[in-house]
Amino acid sequence: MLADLLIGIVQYTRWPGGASSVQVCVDDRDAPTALAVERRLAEGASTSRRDFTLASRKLNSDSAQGLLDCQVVYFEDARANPRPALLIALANLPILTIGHGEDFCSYGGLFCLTSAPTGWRIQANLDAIARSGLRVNPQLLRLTQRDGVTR
Amino acid sequence: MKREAPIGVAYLVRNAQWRVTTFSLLGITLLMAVIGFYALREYESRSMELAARSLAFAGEPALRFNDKVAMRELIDQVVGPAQIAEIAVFDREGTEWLRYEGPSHGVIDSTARRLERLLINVPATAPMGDGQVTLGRVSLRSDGRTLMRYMIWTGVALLLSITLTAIAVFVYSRRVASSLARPINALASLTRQVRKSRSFEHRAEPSTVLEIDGLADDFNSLLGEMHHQQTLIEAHHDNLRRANESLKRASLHDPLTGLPNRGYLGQHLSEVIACARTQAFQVGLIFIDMDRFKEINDRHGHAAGDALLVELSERLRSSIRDSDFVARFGGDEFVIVISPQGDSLAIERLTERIRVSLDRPVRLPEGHELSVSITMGTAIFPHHADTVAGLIRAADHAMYRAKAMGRGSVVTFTPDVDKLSPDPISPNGGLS
Repeated sequence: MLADLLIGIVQYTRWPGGASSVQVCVDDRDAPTALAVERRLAEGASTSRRDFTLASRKLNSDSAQGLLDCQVVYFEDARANPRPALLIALANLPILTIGHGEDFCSYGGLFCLTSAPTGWRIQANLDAIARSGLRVNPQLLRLTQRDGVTR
Repeated sequence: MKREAPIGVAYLVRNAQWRVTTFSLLGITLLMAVIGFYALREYESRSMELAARSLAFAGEPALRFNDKVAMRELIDQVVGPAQIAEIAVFDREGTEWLRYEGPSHGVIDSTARRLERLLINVPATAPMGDGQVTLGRVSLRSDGRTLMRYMIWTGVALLLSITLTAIAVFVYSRRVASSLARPINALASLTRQVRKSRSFEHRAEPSTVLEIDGLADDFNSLLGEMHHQQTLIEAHHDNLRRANESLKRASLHDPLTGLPNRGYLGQHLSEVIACARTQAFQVGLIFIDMDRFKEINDRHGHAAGDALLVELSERLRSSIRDSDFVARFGGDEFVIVISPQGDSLAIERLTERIRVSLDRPVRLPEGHELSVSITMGTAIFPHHADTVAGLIRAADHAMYRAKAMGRGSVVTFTPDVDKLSPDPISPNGGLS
């Protein structure tokens, strides 16, 4: 379910320069997500011809240095460990950051996921998205802007 | 065979026009309605397809992220202006992911939807996806309000044009019918008038309708002929009447003296006796015979005899009363009927008057003067006889008796006279 969400957001995002392969970086302590994404991709959840690769990284440093080859960084534990310094470091870079909890967006994350009774809800930090240089499908942004939630 | 009630011209004209116009109107309207309906259906399907496409495009993320709330919000935005009744979204596997049905208010909405289902059987469908991989599909149905509105307007237009046509047909047919019926009615009333008053001078008016004008012409010439015929018949009738009168007169009168003849005498006498029987009066009869008529004829010629007869009849006529009747019975015999007071006194007076009138001699054409002498026998109804023949016979017998007594005498019938001479009348026949 979460994997679908991740893959979906990637589907609606375009990187500057038109990168044809997407590397999704996951916390190296977060094996379940990596596994789930792997499995969904194998099942054909991707509707794009772009190549997906998965990479495990250490997300406990405050530097963006080790993440520059990632197109997507997924923060599994953002609610407990927001890591604002790392997010500030990743700002202005064409890297799609996805995390949990509204605070994640407050600290500069691009997309934050919250759980709702009907399933997951997505919220977006439009400023951060604009600064990152990524192009996100407006329909997806529209989906995130319900209930007057703006960030 | 039963005869159908006749139908008026106005009705015929109106009926014919009404049928033609209704037929053509219905045909045209039906054709236009079918064409319009197909165009509208095409338009409706296209607009639904477009709505489906845009919904598929806009709703793709919602389907991808399985966000039914977002999809519903999207649908709420689209549904109002697009007149969509029903939306169904199917996921990749083809199972129904979300279904929307617009609220239906009252009979009109449900009727419109039923109509739409009937006319457009396949809902508009659009795939959801990014062009390469399909995530699902959306299908939707219109609420049919446009279709129904079109149908209602078509019906109203048809009704309106039929009403207008009815008015036009009514007005026009009335005009045509009056231009047909008026001259025909005029002809009919003319015919009635001619029949009633037998006056053939009237003529039919000319008409603006060719056939009726021809009919009026024919009718006029027929009237003319009838008029001519009528005058001919009247003239002929007059001639016949005059001929008949003169014939009647000739048959009842003696051509020489102009007095009633023996036939007329019989007729008159039977009428008088019938009248005398009911009113109980007496009828006197005088039988007159000229003395020595044969001798005069032999001596002076037939012309003198004729002149003598004419003069005698003239004197007899001037001697009688207006109510009396004198007839030439035959040869030199005359009969006078005295009624209604034909008693012996009246007879006596008349015989005396006749005798006096004959005192004057008669001047014959060649200059001779002759004194005329007659012998008379008289009889009275009902004393001497009670039938026509009997009365004449009685008077005749009395006359023979008088001859025997001497020329110029007068004898009244008595029963013994009857034995003297048997029956001089029956050989001559005629009276009964």
